[in-house]
Amino acid sequence: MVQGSGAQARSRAIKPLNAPRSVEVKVDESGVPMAVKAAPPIPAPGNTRPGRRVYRSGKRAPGSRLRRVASDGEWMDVASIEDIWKVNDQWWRGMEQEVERVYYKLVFANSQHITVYHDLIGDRWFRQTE
Amino acid sequence: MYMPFPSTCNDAVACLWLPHFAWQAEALRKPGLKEPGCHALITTGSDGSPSGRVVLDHSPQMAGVLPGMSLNEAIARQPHAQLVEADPAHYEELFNEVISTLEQRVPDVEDAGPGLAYASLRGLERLYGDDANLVRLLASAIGSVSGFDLRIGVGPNKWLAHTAAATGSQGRARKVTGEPGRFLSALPVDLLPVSYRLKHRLHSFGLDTLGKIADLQRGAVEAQFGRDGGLIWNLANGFDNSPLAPRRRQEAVFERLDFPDATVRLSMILTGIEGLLSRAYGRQAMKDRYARRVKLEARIFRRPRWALDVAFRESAGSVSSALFGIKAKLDTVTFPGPLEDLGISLSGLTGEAGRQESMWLDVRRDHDLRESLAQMQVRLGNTPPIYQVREIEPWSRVPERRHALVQLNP
Repeated sequence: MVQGSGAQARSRAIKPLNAPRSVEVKVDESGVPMAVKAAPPIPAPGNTRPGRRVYRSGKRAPGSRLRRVASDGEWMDVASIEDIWKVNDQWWRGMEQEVERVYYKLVFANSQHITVYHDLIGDRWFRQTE
Repeated sequence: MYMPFPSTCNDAVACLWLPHFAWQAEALRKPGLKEPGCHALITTGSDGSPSGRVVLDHSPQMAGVLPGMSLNEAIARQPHAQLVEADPAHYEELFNEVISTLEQRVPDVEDAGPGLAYASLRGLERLYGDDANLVRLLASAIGSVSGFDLRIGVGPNKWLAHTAAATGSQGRARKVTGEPGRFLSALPVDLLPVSYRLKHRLHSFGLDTLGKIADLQRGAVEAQFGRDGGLIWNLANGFDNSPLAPRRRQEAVFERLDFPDATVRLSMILTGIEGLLSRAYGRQAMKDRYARRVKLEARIFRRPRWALDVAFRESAGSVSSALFGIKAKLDTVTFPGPLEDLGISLSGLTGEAGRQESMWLDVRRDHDLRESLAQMQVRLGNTPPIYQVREIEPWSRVPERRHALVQLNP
């Protein structure tokens, strides 16, 4: 449930799904990711105390699966690269709308997975699930 | 003790008349109204000012006042009368009790409005013996409800039975037999079941008794008084072909509660309604059944009872669906004052054990979802923040373009 903003909801409002989120990435001399620093996750409603650690790095509850990156704003080293692919789309719409990304599916030392891409047009890194 | 008439009933109709029923009902709650010298006017009307109000009933001993008369006129004639605001819901409830008691003894009973009922006596002599026993039976039935002043009349049709009751005295039954002309001729036109205005006009024409109307040509009366003219000419001559319309017995489930403090807060009232609905739907009589309507009734602090009828668009088989219909109706209602208690009566109960649903799960799911959203919208006051994942460009190579969250509208 989304926390109420107090504003009147617009009918037929559309929200983006799976929008890319900015991450910091350290790369080697060939441009391949070596470490990733993801922003802390968005706190759940009712869990808005500043500085509260929601996810603890490398720890998980018994029987639970780690589904999110537990970087907590810290650098996490890339253990291996599982997959790489490139997307070049909308090029016929001009430079403003062209999409040119190189996706990396990374594996950290704690076995967590993350998919990041390098936006070649703006030279920025983003995190995004497929 | 009733003094019955010595004959058999055959196809006769009995009229049970409780004169000044509204006054009698008020006098049960306020015994002071029965004291000698106490003159009360029971008034009704949506307008708070005397000019917009009319007399519904009055104390029996008051002269010169008639039901339907404007309050201004009544006060002019009875300047010292005590004014009592009518409580129609209370009268209806009380008279329903009378009718229900009668129905336990006589099968065909017509509720002709508070204080007036007709019962068919056809075939009852085989069950209860002669008509003397029947009259005693009817009198004892009403006497068991309360100490009402009851008049019983028997006649070949409803009108003659009514006039017999109206001209009788307390504790005696009267029967009209043979030629009704002589019996009716001396009776006042005030007995006619027409508006106060029409009675006033009849008096202004010098037509004070039924006999004077009966002496006229039917066409002349119709020409002067229109459609009502034909009716009053027929009645003045003792003709009444209107059939006896027995009350349709309706099964109902009733629940009530008392509020700890009188309240006008909608949230509190809705919580009360929800609790009452839970209790009602939890009863065995409502198991696997649906209700088509619900009646809300409440005592209002220093005001007449309040009642609201809610007919469901679709019969309600659960607390949530019934509550949804009631909420939608209450949004448009202003309570006349703080509610002291609350009662609900579920009626129009269907005999079905289930409802035809769509065979397709998707259709059923969508319908349930829309209903839940509509209910949430009523609760929240705006569109609920619930979204559905929709495919936008599922073929797109750019992940954020494949799907989007679209707000669901009921």
